[in-house]
Parts: sequence; structure tokens; C-alpha cells
Amino acid sequence: MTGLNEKELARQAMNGDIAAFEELITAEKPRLYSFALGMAGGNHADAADVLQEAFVKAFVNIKRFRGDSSFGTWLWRIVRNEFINYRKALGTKALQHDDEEVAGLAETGRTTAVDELIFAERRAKLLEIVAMLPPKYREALVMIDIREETYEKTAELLDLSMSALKTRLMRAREKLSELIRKRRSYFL
Amino acid sequence: MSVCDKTTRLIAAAMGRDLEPNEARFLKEHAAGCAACREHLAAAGAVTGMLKGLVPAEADTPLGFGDRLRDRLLDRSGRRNWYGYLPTIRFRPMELGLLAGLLLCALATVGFFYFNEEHPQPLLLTSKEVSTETPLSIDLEYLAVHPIREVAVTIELDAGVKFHSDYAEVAAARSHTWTGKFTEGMNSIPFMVTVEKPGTWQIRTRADFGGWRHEHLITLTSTGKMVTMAQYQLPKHRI
Repeated sequence: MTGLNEKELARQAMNGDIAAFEELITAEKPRLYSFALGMAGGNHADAADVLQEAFVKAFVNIKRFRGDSSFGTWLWRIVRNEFINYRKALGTKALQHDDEEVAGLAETGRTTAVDELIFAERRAKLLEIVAMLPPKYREALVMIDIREETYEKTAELLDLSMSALKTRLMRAREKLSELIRKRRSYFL
Repeated sequence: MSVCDKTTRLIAAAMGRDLEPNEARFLKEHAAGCAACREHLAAAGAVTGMLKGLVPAEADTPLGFGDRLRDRLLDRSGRRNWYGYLPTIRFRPMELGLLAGLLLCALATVGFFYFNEEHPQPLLLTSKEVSTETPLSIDLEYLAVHPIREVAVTIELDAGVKFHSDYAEVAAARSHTWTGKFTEGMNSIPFMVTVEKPGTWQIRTRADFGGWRHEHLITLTSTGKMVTMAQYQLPKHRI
């Protein structure tokens, strides 16, 4: 870190300074990638693709950053929009679940190693199920229930009022509950 | 809404620990008699535990992410030049000031040694003041360490100066080249000029011999009645 403030770095990035832009995104990158992973159903390739696309868009459009909010907040907004576009581009990708495979794993779980394998598999499946939620519900669930971000910070980053966030989260849990009901055998 | 649909909503509330006591009681009672809802509740319980930390709150991007991103940014910025690959160093204003100060100090040090070193300077040979009414006689002197068979000395005049000669073509000329030979020792090339107009004028001469160019600069400052002449020998240089 050079210690230059956000405003100065943003000014340099506006003049095409790539290193300044890289420094600007450094602080938020781990959190954004965590969010991207949650949004992409744990798929690292998809998460990295979307995040990269969002960063490129942020760089190209950095002149639109007016400094009304922090650069981090502005960046989060771009990443969230990119997930909406990304899902649209893909179509509503139906995630494939091999019910028999998971059910089989559950039945054969006897040893600790196998238990761990089952647990890892279940986590992966759960992430896939989370990825089936519409983006606006998914992001609320990823932020609060998965990443355990505070309500205040989440409301700020998702640009929502507190009550709107709580409503979205409730709807997200209901939708998740419906999805789980249909696939309850995975988790028993 | 069927009872089981209602249970789904209550289970969602339970996942967020938002269940009222009467709702919790209803859910418990319903699940006791409904195998599907009982399984659903158990699955939701397992899922709630799994959700937390399903992805870490902060995660490292995959290897090569930064390089690929930089590559794309370079493409978009149109800065894919050789210097685009150099690391960029940025300074805070104070650091920049310090750096500028250091550079100035370095320049001052170099300048000090440069200007204190002896450099060839024009050498004043003669200086005199004469009336403009009489022609001014000037001698160009050259030291030859051995006889020179062929020497050419060119004299060029500014507009306010004329050669003083009985020959009209010489007097009208703006430059004249003398050719001849030098003997070992001091050789003198005399010529005469008249200053026609007030002002400061120059006469430039050059003589090429022994592999060197020898030059003189003569300045003539005329007030109209008097003229001050100063003759300088310029540093010789290789030809």
C-alpha cells in the first residue's frame, strides 16, 4: 500500500493508472470474492469470471464514481449488477442434482472420513441450492446467513433499507425452505 | 395454503430464529404427526448449521486472477506498451517534494563541479580604441610549430564593416579568403577595415591547418566617432 487516500487513487485510476485501480480494489477484493463464491454456488471459476468482469467494468466506468459513497460501496453495486447480468446471460441455469448419488452417500456414511466426505458434498449441494434462488434473495442470504455480515453493513452494501432487507431475507429463507423440502433427503 | 405449505414458511422463520412461541408450538405438534414435515424440519435444521461459514467471510481469489485482470485492464486502457509492464511507483506529495529536492541537490552538485572546472574560454588578445576616421589595422597571428605549405584564412565581416583596400572588389566584398603558407613560428595576417555605421559589429575569421580550426572573433563597437576593438581567440577544435 502506498498510503494514498481513496480519492487520490480514484483520480489516478480515472487517468488510466491500472496500479492505482488495483490498489483501490485490494481492500474489498477478499470480501467481494467471498460474496461472489456464495452467489455462484461455490463455483470458483464462475465467481472469478463474474468478479473479473465487474472489476473491468468498474475500471472502464470509474469516471462515473463521484465519491458520494465509498469506493467499496460503489464496487459492491457493480459486482451485484454483474451477477444479475451474468445469470441473465446464462439463462436460468438449472443446477443438476444427482439425487441418487447424494442419497447413496448418506446411506453409506459410517466412518469419520466418509462423514467428512458426505459433509463436504452436502455443503457443495447446499451452495448449489442457494445458487438457485433469484439474485435479490440470494444476495441477502449470502450476506447475512452465510457470510454472517451485519444487517447494517448488508443494508448499506445492498443499498436497501433495514426493513426491505429483513423482508428479502425472510423471502429468501422461505424459498430456500421450499427448495430444501423437495431435497430433504440430501440433508438427513 | 395447505398445512404443510404453512409449515414451510414456519420452518423458514425457524431458520432465522424468528419463530413466535405459538408458531413454534404449532410446528412441533404438526411435525409430530407429519413425517414429511418432520423430515423437512430436520433437514432445515441441518442446513441452518451448514449455512454459517458455507463460504468464508473473506476469500482469496484463485491463482492468476490478478494477472488475468491486469491483462484485461491493459487491453481496455490501450496501454499495452513496453512501459505498461513496468511497475508503477506513486508518491505522496511530501515524498514527491523530497524527491524533487534531492534531484535539485544532485543537479546543483553537478553544476558546481562543472562550472568550477576549467573550460576553454575565448581569450582576449588585444583591445584598443581608435578614431573611425582612420582605417583600423588588425593582425591575425598564428603560431606554427612547423612550416605549413598551404593555409587558407577566411575573414567574414558584418554589414557595418568594410575591408579597406585599393582594390574595389576587395573593398566591396563581405568575406575574403587568404591562401598562402606559414613558416615555423609566429605568422601574421594583417588586414584593414573601416567601420561605416555606429553600432556593434563582428568580424569572424577561421584558419584551418595542422588538423585544427583556429578562429578569431573581433568585436567593433562604434559610437560614430570612435570605435573600440576587441580581438578574441576562440578555442581551437579538430577538423
